[in-house]
Amino acid sequence: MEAQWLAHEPDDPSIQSGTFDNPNYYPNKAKEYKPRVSYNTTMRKKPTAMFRAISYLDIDRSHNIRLEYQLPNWNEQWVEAKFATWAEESKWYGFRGVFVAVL
Amino acid sequence: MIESAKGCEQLQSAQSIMGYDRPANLSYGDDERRGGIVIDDEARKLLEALYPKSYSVSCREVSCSSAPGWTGGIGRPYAYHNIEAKQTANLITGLCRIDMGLNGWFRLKCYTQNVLSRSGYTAVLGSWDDTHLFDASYSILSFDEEDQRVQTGRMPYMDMRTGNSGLPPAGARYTKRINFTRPFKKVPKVVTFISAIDSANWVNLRVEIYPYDIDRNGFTLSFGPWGGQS
Repeated sequence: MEAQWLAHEPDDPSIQSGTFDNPNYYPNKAKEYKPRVSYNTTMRKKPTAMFRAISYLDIDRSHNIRLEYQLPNWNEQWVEAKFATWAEESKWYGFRGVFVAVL
Repeated sequence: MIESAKGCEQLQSAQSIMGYDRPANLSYGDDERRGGIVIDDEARKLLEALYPKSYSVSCREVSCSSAPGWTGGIGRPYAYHNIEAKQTANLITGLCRIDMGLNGWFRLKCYTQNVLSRSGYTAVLGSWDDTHLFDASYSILSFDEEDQRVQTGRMPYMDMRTGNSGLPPAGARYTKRINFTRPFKKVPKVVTFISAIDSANWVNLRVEIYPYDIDRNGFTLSFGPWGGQS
């Protein structure tokens, strides 16, 4: 396995980053989760680049692994995520991700 | 810079930024003063302070299925994407979609190679051995060479273990102190994420990555599975 990381000044107006700290549903499972996270500070305009990556997985091995982490909507104040599977059987216990927004 | 300016008299200097050449249709008569075309050092420094250079970033998503000629299955070759981009520094690749069967271990990775500064790179992603990979997607972010806004890095799980060589103990979680190349002015924001997985298929897939003890000089990375995961 491999981890990567990115660091930036906390008050840089051109970059915002954060984590979607979704709940762990164990022993239950989830199929879809759509949280919204606000930036620490409002950006000057809507970011043109939005990077995303998974940071936490807790998946039942009894079914195929089908997971996707998307950022379908964002503006200068917040970003919305969609954590989902596309098969009823492939639910997850835990699934989290990070984002990096750049002007 | 401003302290050394001498007011209107200075602005009338032919060497001043206010005396630059401009199109004739923007002028009003012969009395208007027109100066040289050279911006003096003081004015240049003032401009640089008022208008810092803006940098561009490159952010894109690549998938196995969108690579030319790639098809899913067991033991498939890697998918290659030749990316043209002027931003080739601080390249990071983050996993964002998995479609994988249970035939073999859960293996997936993405890395960049053939990086040509300010020109492009090749993104390589996929699985190996007996893993059944239907598809996977990664988000890739990169910056201009001169862009000092971020610092990035990667940490393979195998590099974090201590002691003897061989597979790390099942369920082992590791921590490692990572030092920044240069200190940040303030305690930075740090995000950590998965770029590769290699996990046994007889236990649940559990991976957690997070930073803590963040200060201006570095942070501690916590990385690994839990609950008896290999």
